[in-house]
Amino acid sequence: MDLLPEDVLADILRRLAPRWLATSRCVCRAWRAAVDKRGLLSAVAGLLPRSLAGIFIHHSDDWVTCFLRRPSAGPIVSADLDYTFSGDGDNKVEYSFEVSDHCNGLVLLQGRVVNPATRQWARLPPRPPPPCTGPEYFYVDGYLAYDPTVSPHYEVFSIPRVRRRREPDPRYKLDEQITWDESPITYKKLDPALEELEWPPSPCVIHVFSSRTGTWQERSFLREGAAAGTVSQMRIDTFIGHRYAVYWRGALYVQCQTDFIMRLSLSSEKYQLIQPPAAFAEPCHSFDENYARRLSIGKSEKGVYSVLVDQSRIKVWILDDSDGQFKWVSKQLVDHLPELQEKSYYQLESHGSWLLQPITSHCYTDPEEFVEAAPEQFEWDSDNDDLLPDNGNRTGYKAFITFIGFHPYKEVIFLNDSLVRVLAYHLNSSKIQDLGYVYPEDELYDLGNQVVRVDASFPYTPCWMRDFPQND
Amino acid sequence: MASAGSGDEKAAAAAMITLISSDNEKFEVTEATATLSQTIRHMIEDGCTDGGVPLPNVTSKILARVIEYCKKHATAAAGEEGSSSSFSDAAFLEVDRAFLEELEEFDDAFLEVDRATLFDLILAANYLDIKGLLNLTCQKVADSVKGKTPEQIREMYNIVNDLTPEEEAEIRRETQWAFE
Repeated sequence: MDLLPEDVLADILRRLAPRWLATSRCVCRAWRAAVDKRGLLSAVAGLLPRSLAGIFIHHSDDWVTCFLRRPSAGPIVSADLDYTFSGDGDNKVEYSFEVSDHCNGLVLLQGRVVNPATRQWARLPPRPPPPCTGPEYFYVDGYLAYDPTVSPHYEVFSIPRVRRRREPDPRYKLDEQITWDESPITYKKLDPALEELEWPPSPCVIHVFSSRTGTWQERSFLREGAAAGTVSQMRIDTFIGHRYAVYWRGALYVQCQTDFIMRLSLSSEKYQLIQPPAAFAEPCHSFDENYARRLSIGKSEKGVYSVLVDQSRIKVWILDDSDGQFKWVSKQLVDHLPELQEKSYYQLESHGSWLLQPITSHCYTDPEEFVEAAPEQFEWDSDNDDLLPDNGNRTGYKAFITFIGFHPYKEVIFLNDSLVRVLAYHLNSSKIQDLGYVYPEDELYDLGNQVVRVDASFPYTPCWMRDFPQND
Repeated sequence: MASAGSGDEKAAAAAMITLISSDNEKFEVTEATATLSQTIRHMIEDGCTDGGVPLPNVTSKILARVIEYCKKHATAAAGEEGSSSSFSDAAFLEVDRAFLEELEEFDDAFLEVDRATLFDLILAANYLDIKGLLNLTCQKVADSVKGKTPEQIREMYNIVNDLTPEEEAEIRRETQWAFE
C-alpha cells in the first residue's frame, strides 16, 4: 500500500461511502492526508442526517399530518410534500400525507418514499399481498431501512401482522363517524388450525422493496430462538396506533404485537425475538386508559431504547448487546413527572418556539418561502439550560402525557402533553422544556367537535445527500 | 501471449506495436489493443514507437496480464462501435447484453489475483493510463476496505499505524457517527 502514489490512493478512497471514508482516515497518516487534502469527507459530512429539524406528527384523523418545526439558523426543510403528487389532479384526494415511517432523513408515505430536504422522491410499485395465509388474517406495516453513511440505497420492509381479535364492525364505515370505541365489538374467528400456528413463523417471508432493483422481492428470514407465541396469543393485542421500528447497525428492530421486538439481521437473513423490558399488558378500551400505559421503542444516543409511559411514570431502558445477548438495561425511572398546578387551557398555550406547519394538499405553499433562515436566537439547543422559561417553576404536564419520540442523538424524549403541547424531557437532568403547540387547526382540517390525538410521530433528521435513487 | 493474433487474419493485417517489459521481454500487440493505454496512444501519435515501446516500470508478468485485459476490452470496444448504428435492433441488443455479461465475467475472473499482483496492476494501469483497468482495480481495493475497522485494514495491507493515540482519538471524535 505504501507503494501507491497519493493520487491513486485517493482514487481508491473516493469510491468509499462516508462511513468507510471516516474509517480510512484512522488507518495511518498517508490515508488521512489522501482524504483530507481533497476534502473527500468534508464534502459530504455536512450533508448527513446529524441534526433534528422537527417532528412529523400524524393525528388520528387520517387526513391530519403536521410538521412541528424546530426553529433553526441553518437551512430550513419545508414539510410541504405536495410535489409527491405527480400532477394527476383529480386523484389527489386518493392520497394522504400519512407518514408511516422515517429513517435517517427519508420519509415513508403511502406508496412513496420522500427526502423532504432535497425534495427528491420515488413512487413504490404496488406492494404484493402479504405472503401469509391470506389478507383476511394478516396485514403488513411498512418500515424503512436507510443509512446514507453506507449507501444511497434504501429498502422498505413489509412486516406481517396478525389481524386483531377485536375489529370494528366493517358495516360501520368511516363516513358514518362511528369511532373505534363506539362500534359494535366483533370477534373475528380464524380457522382453529391457524390460531395455533407459532408466530412469527420460521422462515418468515417478508416482502422487501429495494431501491437497487426497483422491485419488491420475497425474502425469507429464519428465526433463531423461540417464537413469541401463537397467532392466537398475538390477537389479544388490540392496540391500533403505530408501532415503531429502529434501524441500527444493519439490523431492523420492529416492535410487534404483544410488545416483543423482532430483530431482523439484514445481512444474514435471520431474525430473533427480544422480550420487551416490561411485560405486555392487555390494553383497556376506555379513552383514558388507552393513554395510560404504552411501551415504545426508538433510537437515541446509545442505540436502541425502549420507553414505558404509564400515567405520569416514565421508564427508559437501553438495549445492550455487548456480550452477544440482548438485554435491557434500565436507564431511568421517573416516578412522577411534575404536574402543572394551574390546569386551565390557557396554561397549555405553549410558550415554545417550535412551529406547527400543516401538511395538506389544499394549501400548497411556495417553496421559496422556506429558504429564508429564521433568526438565530430561536436556536434550540438541548445542552443549553438558558432556554428554559426562567420563572422559577419548571413546566409540568396537565392531564396526561403520551410518548412522541426519542431525540435521535441526545438522551431526550419528546412527550405530548394532553394532546396539545410537545414537551422535551431531558433524561440526564430531568429538565422539562415546552417546545410548542401541536394541536391541528380546527378550521383548516374541518375537525368540528372531533378530538384528534397523535397516532404516529417521527423525530426527523434531514439528509442533504443528493444521490437519492430515482427510478421514475 | 508473446505473439499476438497468430491465425487471426484481421489482427495480422492491423498495425502491430511491440511492447518491451522491464525484464526485456517483447510483446507484439495490435494498435487497437495498445491504444487502450493513453500513454502508448500518445507515443504512437508522436511517432516514437519504432523499435518497440520500452516500459521500464512494468514486469513481463504484469504486462502479460495487462495485455490480456486490453485485448478483451479492445474487442469489446470494436463490438460496441459495430452495433451502435443499429442499436434499435433487438437482436443486436441481445448480443450486446450477452457480450457485456461475458465481459463482466472476464473482469471478475481477471481480479482473482493476490494482493501484490493487484497492486502491481494498479501501478501499471496508472502508469500506462488505462482508465478501465485502473477503475476496475481501484474499485476492487475499495470494496475490500468497506465494512472493515482501521485495525483490520492495517492488518490486511501491512500498514504501520503512524498516528499518535491523540491523533487517532481526535479523528474518532471528529467523526464519531462513523464509529458508533
